[in-house]
Amino acid sequence: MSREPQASVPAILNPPMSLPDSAATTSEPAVAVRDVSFRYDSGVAALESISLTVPHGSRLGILGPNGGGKSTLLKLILGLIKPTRGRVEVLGLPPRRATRSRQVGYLPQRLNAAWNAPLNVRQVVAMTAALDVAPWRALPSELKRRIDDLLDLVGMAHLAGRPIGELSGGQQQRAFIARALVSRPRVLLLDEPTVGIDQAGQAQFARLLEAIHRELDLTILIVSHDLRAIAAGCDDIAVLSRTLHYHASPEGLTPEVLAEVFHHDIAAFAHLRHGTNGHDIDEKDRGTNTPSPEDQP
Amino acid sequence: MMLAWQTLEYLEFAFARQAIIAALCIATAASALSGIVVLKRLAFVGQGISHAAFGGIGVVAILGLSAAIGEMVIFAFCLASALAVAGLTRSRTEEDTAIGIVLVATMALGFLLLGLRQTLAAPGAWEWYRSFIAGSPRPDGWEAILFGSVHTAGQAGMWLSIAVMVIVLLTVWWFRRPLIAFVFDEVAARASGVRTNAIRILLMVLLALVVVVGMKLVGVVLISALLILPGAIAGQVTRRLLPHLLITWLTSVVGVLGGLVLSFEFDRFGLPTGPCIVLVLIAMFTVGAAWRLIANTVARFSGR
Repeated sequence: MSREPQASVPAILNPPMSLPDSAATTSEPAVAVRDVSFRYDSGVAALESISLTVPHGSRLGILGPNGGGKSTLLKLILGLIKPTRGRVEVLGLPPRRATRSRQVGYLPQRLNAAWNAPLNVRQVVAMTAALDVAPWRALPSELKRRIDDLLDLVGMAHLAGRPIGELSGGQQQRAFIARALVSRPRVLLLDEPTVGIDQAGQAQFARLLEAIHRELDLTILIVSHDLRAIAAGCDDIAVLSRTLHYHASPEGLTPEVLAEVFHHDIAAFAHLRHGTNGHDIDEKDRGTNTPSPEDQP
Repeated sequence: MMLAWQTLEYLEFAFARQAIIAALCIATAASALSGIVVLKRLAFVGQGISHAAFGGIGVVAILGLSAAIGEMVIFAFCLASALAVAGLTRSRTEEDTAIGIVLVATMALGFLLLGLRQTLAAPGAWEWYRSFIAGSPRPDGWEAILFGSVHTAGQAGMWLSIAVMVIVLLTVWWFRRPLIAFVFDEVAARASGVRTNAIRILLMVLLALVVVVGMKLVGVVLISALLILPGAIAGQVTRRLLPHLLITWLTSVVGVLGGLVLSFEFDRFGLPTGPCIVLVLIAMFTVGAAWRLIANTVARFSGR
């Protein structure tokens, strides 16, 4: 892990060059779900024969109605549950090992957190990485530096000392992104990232994700019931409702598929579909798909 | 100054000094858990654990067990009920329902066995039982069990409290990082490799320890006050970690000391310790809530 003095943020955040990463693993997908089914103890099937591959560096949005098995799939990829049938691999490893070795960054649903907890932004960002530090040790200064850099990257440095519960939804989400990135993961999983965040916050979040993807060379998976969350810069889209209904680029997604999956509100989705190319969200921030000066390090 | 004089006079008695040291230790141990109890909504769990002590007291009474073994039986009962709650909750029973069930079950058992002992131990028919339990300590009176009494601390109680405090503080410190992750977001913590079930069981063990030892001081009914109120007060006042920890500890200590002083000062009125401690804590909570209200109002009108 010997590295020269850091010149720029991305250099600090990228996996150390000494890791035998790219050559060894680009041949296999970042996330591979192979013919996976999951049944609850009651016998009810949550997922049936799902196959998904997510190439390195790509961005996949998984869209589906509530109760469609999205969070089950996410739990499988995180290794929190085991598939009834089939196999899940993350970076060529069993999911639990990939997660434990901090190669998977996870952005949990924001609303599950105890927001009245007496923690400031910096403490929240440090939370996951701190688990790897021995109890009798203080946080290493290298980790603290990395946290500072990440707070800069997500634009939260000026709020680092503020209690997390006093921030807006968008700001909390950016702190969560920083937390997910602290351990230099190679896969980033986002669970319903837009819930409870206003339009402006969502646009800002989409831009941040864009920048992170470009600069950190991450594989990104977004799980959401909200098409807008996924429209904002995914290369591929998968539509999930117990079985996989669609898996290709967002442009090819038809209202008919959405209608079949969601069973209702076709008009609303047809309307939203304009967002699948990114127009909906980028209206105000045109140019975010091509690197803009402010996003450059 | 008359108040201070009364208490100082009491300090000449060993039982009073022991009681105060024991109380400070329990207050410190409870405050270390209080923030977690409040944030994780374990308040009712504390209630369940403490009432489970009734079951243990019943078993101790009917078997005529010695004090030391008795403590362990009561601890085992509290812990078993905490784990029963955790187990029931995992299998499709709501947590508050699970606690309600365990609470009444252990209380019923305790009352039943205590009543049975009284009948059996009465002079007359059951001589073999009288000789069986001969020499065993008489079970505490109802009021002592329910509301606690400083007079029961004793030297052993003092050392036990010190030990429990050290154990609780060390454990919480050692596991501080997984605990913070667990309290903040359990699902995310599990996804990051925290063994949340193990952490939950660990918390139950610590809660049971504090309950069993603290029960003697403030009683079964009111021990959960020590686990809830300091954290609740700190939550009213601050959202920063160090001030939060400091305030939980200070309110806990002030509450316990204040309660003890009150009950010493007004000894001739026979004020029981537990209720005095709880009322001091409640007074501080009221001040904290008022503070919150004023701070919110000021913030609203200053347009933040």
